[in-house]
Amino acid sequence: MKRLRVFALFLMLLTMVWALPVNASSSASPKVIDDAGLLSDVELSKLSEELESVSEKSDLDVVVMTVPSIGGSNAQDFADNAYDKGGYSEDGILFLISMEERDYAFSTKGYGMEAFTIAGLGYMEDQFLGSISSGDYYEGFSKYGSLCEDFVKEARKGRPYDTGHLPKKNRSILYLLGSIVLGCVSALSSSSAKRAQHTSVHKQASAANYVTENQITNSRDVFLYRTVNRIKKPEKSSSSGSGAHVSSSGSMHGGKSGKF
Amino acid sequence: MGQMKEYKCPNCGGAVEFDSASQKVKCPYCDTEFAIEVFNELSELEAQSIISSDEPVWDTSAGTEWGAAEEDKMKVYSCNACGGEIIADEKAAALKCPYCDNPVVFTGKLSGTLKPDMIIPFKLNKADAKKKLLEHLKGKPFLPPVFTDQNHIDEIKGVYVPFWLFDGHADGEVHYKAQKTRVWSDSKYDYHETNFFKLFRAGSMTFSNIPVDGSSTMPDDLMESIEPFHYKDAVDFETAYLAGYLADKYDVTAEDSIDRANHRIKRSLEENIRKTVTGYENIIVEDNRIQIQNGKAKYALLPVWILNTTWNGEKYLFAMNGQTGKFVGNLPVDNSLYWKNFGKTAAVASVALFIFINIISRFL
Repeated sequence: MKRLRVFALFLMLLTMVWALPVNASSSASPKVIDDAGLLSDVELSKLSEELESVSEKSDLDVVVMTVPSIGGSNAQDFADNAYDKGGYSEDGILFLISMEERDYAFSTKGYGMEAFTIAGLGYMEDQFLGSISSGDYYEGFSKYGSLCEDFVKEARKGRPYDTGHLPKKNRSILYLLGSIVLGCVSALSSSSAKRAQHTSVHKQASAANYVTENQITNSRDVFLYRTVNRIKKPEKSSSSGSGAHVSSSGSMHGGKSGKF
Repeated sequence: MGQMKEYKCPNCGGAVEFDSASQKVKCPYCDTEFAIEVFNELSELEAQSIISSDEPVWDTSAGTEWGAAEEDKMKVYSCNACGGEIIADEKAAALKCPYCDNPVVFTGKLSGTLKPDMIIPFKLNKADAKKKLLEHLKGKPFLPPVFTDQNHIDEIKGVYVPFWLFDGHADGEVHYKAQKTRVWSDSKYDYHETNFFKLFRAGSMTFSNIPVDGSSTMPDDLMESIEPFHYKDAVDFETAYLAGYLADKYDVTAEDSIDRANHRIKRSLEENIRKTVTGYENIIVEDNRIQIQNGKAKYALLPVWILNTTWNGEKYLFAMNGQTGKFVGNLPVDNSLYWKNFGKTAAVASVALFIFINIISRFL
């Protein structure tokens, strides 16, 4: 009887542990740092709320940082350091833009490096960097937040977005138009083929049917001269993986940077 | 004292000079350098040429005169609508023109024309011709219905068509410019090497009995389309072969027909010589000398089944080789049937593709 009670208590404890929130990975540090002052107060609080919620759901820190200038340092280093010094958790992603240099950088850490591959970040850029470039900062950052949520969700399924496995856009209209065009093209080619069968009258090109004797009496190939052209090969570049590197504070980061 | 000879650049045709510094022959116009041996080889080739002119040489004396008894048996009719002249057996009655379906009128006896040297008698009868015609019309979804009308198909007629048969022997010499390219790479560079060549080919071909249609009413392309005829079945001409059939009278002379035969001879030889140029790129014919010698021309009657059909004011003529059964004839396209078929196919294909793409995209 006593044993049974102990067992029941153990079961209760176990369920309590399971029921506990597991968001130990998402920190309390601010998710939006708008040092460049690009957002209005309303936008700032709305975006903070959104990114908090994304961070909580995703179980990693999703951060946006804007600065007036990175003062001559490398955007990637700046972003890595900002993440390390900002008191964020071991798993996360930080998106930095610097207004003066018009530099941007993603810094990913821990699980963030798995969830956000170079190819995946490239895809994200295509989706939201346009808004940032044209000055719609709130819209762009908000899109970034929801993309992050999507990416982490996919990564938790065991298949992070990467080369060959990127999110699909809704292409139904494209498919429909493509089908109609291809359908018309194939119908045209089959109809034209049937139409071509209507023509069977052609002049004979040669008199090959009436040859009685045929020989090649002489055949000579004379080499005249040669020319050689030398063309320099283009340099190669690669774009897969997580872009892993070590930040100046000594921790491992991933990410990607560029100009917007 | 050696004779001075001016050498021309094989690349651009300018006069070349010997460059003492490089010990090579250099063209001052296009800056290309050649080894001296190149010029020895080229002039050697020039010396081997046997063709002096490209005018054909031939002799024509086709056909023989008709005998009096033969002339009595044959009658000549002509069509007032299309001008076609046909020869028929004296017993033939109520004739219609095989080309345009109009009645023909008796215009007299054979005279002033030649008697054929040979004839290939019909091997296939009217039933065969009708069967082949139906096969020819099958699987043509855009064909106007009038073409498959049985009463009309019964109008198919057997006609002996006059042909000039030409023999010929052709010698040809062709000069080509050609290139061979090679591409390779090292760690820093891609290399493209181009080797320039001059090619020389000579060949000869002999032909026998190339047929050229001698009737201006019969379209030449239609007659070339039912080729070939096999002359193993050819026999000496007898008027008895014409019984039950019509014969067309030649109205294009052998002299006017030989150009067509020689054109085909030239093409055959050119193609045959060109086939021996392999392994090169950018092959350009630089010089092309072909000389043709024609032997005696022959006058022959060859068997053809023909059917004339009118649709939308246009005439469509079908022909079948009366020896081999090869059936040809362009058919009109009924545009309303064409577009109906196009619409149906396009709709089905589009729907099928849309479903297919959606299924596939789910797995990607």
